[in-house]
Amino acid sequence: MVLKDHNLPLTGQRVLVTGASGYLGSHMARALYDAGARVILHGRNAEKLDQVRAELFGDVAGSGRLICLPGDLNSRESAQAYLHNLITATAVPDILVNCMGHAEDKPFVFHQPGDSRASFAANLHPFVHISEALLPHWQARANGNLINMASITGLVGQPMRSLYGAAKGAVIAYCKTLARRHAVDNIRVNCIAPQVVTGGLADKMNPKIKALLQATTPIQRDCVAADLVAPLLMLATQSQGFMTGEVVNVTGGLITW
Amino acid sequence: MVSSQPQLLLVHAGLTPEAQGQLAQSFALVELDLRQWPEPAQLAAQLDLMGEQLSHVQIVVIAVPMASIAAEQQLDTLWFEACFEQIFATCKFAAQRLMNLEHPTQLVLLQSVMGEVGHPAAVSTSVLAGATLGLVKSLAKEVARYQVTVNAVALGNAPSLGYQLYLDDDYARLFKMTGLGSEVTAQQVNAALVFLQQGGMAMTGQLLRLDSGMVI
Repeated sequence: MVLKDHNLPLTGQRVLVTGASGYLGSHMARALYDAGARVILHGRNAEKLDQVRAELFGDVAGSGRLICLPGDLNSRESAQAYLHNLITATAVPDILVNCMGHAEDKPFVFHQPGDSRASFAANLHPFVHISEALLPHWQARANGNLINMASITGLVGQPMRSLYGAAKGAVIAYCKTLARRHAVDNIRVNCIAPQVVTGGLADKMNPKIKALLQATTPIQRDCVAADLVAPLLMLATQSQGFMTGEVVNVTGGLITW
Repeated sequence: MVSSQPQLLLVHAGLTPEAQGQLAQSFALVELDLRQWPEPAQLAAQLDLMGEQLSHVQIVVIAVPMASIAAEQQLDTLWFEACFEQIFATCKFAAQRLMNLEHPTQLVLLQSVMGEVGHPAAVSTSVLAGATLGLVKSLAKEVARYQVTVNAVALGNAPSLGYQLYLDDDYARLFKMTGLGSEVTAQQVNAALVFLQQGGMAMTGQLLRLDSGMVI
């Protein structure tokens, strides 16, 4: 059965997907598009974003529901400017789906001063900056929905990824803080914590640790981007829902607590 | 002369004298005040200087700083990064030293419960404690094979230690749900550290909450 656009669950919703030039972000963006949303693709690298548009959205390029808007979110000022450009080009997004992230495998004893700043610059600060820019708009209209792609590494840790775990732990704490503060504004803030996703950060993992992860996952297969679509859509479509400040684990049974 | 009490290295940025006095009752205390060594390189050099003094250390406690308890709406990224860098550098030094010892040792991060639950008016403290909690979990997995355990003690409202919560309506409601009273004492924290040092060897990567039942 083919659903007409107006029957799709996210019809009429504008979704900004940050980190959409990455593997996970691009696939989440496509899933949101297929659910009827108007999607704004954000990435730092314009060329990579164009590549994503060509490869994943080539069949729908003329639909009018897709905007590519690369930009820098590394400072409060640049995030404000980015959002201003976005609003000029379309309107205030109804939903923010944050997929920015970068991990590097390194034993913690080899980390040098400055490495932690680089990890936070990749995983935490751009998300904080764009959230801070968006929230006043959502407060003004008493509606908003923020979904953050976190990681099980922030919840249960992972050898060789101590700084990534710290950054994701920080992001989760930030989301809980926003959830508590903005519940009164009718703004939902939730996280999805996937196991490492094949095609994404899993491909950069130390093979021994990856094998250990695979061997200890009760659902005996790798986590793929498609596994995250259902929880993402569940959170994206609950703008009036009762769920906020949550972390939804998608770990194949690896974490049952 | 080596004290019969286990040696504890306390790394902090203003833990109250009352809290330190309590710890001194159960441990041979070696103190390092982070405020004197703001740069990671200075801190590492100071820790190296203390090397001999730390040869019998069994437990390293790092007190994660709190930002001001005044309501704040934005993450103070400079404060956050500077604090984390200091903590990470100390963890790295401490874990490297503990890994080379031949007896089981403990690394404990003392921090606010806000890292787990978030606080609408204490963004920087919440995010820093969230980051250090993430760090505890990864470090625990990385150093367990060296008989080093890494845990966090999450404090609720502990003003006598300098961990005072900003008790807005939201948090006040959480405390009303339990009957333990809202304050955690220095003695209770000391007891938790004694437990971790004496009996907690099978326990790593955990968050031990001393929060008067705030998070259940």
